[in-house]
Amino acid sequence: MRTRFIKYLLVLYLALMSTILVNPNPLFALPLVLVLISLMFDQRWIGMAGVLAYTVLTFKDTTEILYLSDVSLNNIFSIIIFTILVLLPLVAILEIVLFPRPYRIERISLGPLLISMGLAIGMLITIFILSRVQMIGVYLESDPMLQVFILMSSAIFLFAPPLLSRSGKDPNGPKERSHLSQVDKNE
Amino acid sequence: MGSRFTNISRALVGMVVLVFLSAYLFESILLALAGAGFLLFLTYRRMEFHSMVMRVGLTVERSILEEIVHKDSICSIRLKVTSGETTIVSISERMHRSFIPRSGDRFLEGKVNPDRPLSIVYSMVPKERGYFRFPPLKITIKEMRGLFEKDIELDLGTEIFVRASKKEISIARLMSKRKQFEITGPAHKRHTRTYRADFRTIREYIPGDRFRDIDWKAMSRFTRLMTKEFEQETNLPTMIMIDGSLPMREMVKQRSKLEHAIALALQAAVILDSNGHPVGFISYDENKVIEHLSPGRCELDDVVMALFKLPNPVETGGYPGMPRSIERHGEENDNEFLSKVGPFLVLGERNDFTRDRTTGIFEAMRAIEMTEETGMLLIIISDMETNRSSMLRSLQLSLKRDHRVVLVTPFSWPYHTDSGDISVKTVEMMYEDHLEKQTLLRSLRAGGVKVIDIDLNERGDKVIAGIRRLSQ
Repeated sequence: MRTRFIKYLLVLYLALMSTILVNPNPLFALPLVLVLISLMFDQRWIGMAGVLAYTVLTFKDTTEILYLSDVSLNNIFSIIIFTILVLLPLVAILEIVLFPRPYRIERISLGPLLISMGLAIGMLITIFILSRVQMIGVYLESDPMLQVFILMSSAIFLFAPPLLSRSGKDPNGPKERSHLSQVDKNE
Repeated sequence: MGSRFTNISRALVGMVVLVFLSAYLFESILLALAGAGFLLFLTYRRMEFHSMVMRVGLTVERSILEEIVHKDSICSIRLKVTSGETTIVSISERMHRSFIPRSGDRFLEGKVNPDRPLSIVYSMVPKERGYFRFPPLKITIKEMRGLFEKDIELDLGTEIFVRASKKEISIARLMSKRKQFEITGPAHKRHTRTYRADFRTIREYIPGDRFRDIDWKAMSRFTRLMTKEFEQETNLPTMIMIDGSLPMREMVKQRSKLEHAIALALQAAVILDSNGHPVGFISYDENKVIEHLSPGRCELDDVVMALFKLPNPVETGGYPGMPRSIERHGEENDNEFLSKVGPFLVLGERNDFTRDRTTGIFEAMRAIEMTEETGMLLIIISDMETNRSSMLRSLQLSLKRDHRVVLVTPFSWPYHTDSGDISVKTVEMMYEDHLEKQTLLRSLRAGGVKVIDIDLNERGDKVIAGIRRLSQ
């Protein structure tokens, strides 16, 4: 019961945060209703559609995070704020939508977690360094399309290889258990 | 073997692409960031899934619940999956084609916890006798969110030993109780002794009973033929020989001569044993002896087990007819070649080989000559399609050793054809084969071999009656 309550609180938090920080029009937070329906009736496809619609509608014509500053690669601070306040809860909601009820925190491996965090930090550092290079910084300032391109390309460049790689080893997982006693009995 | 994307993960990838496209169209950095976030989430889940697959520790146990499995009787299989970690698995059990599913689901899917294993029980009916190995299991490990899957094939190596059907065994038992079996005639060796027979009872006449045993007084009382039954009269060591070569093992439309031969041999063995005759067993294939059990030195159970352990039948598309004699050129070269490879084939230590002496039947006869005494009863069950000339020589050899030879030979065509699909050409071939076989059998009969020609419908009566009439 408590976990379900936390899920709804998270959705409410995201609606409030996006309205306050990102886009003041509350209509753009309406797709989150789909997410609520998905959580109530365990329909993951509706939830995914809701997350997608919410993402596209809310973030599409935002040029600045309200009360903070312009959204730009030159301003790494705004990106970190956006990531922590909005993007992480959004990914958490996606996880909740996908994971079947009741939500249970499972055992996780340290390796994949560290690699993912390393990749995310690596991406931020890349953007930070790029924006500090003088000529690129000037171009970035003038052309938001270039900023989108750099973000997309760095995300694909960093995340696609581990996503599309095939696991090298075969699992040592399934093992057979001795059944020879049965054969012996038949003998 | 890598993992596979499911529909949900493909949809997520599509979602990322859509978000990136929107970011490009609307020139929104936040959208591009969101797309990167979703992509990172997907990447993390995949790496985590690979890690989970490596440490999951699945154990699959397949057990056969029946201790003894008979042909045409239901047997139950339990499949149990345990895991060191919570995961979703689906397992589909494939079945050997000689088994027919009876009840229960052969598809297992669900969440496996370390403290709650998954298991299913299903049943099937074996349609053939022999050793069978289960095909490998197809296991699919699924990511808890349903994003990725991984297929694994696992060969548990489970073997199942299917014995002859209960019906065949019960028929053999019934016959052994019903009929008195006896062999009369001169005794050659210590095993074959005739002793004073004590009258036991009278019973109804069965074809094959001796004329002098008929109780004429009782016949007038009961108005039907009655036979006097005595205690055991003779004690004749008997060797049952089964041809396990490929033509015997051929199976078309679930019928094979070998299966029929086993049923008949089983009956003969049980009946002979119940009448106090020591029973031995030899099986042979094209080149060598498969199993050799001496009469008097083995129990009936050993013979029965050896019968059940004969090679499995081989399913073939159709019966091509009896092997024809082909005009051969370079016979001398062939013989020379055989004399070279012969020792390796027959596992013997002979120096001179001809084609006829490098065969399974000859090896079997040789084994009898080397280890057994003379004057035995040899019951040979063979379709006479393999090593025909060698068989003639071998039987002559055994007759010289004072063995009594009974050849039970099935005619192949009825086993492999249905009455519905016989063409003119098939009939011609059948006729030719029939003539050829009859010629062969005639020469054997002339040589002193008792030949019992059987067909598909033979349930054992003809064979038993034939053996009983052997010396009357």
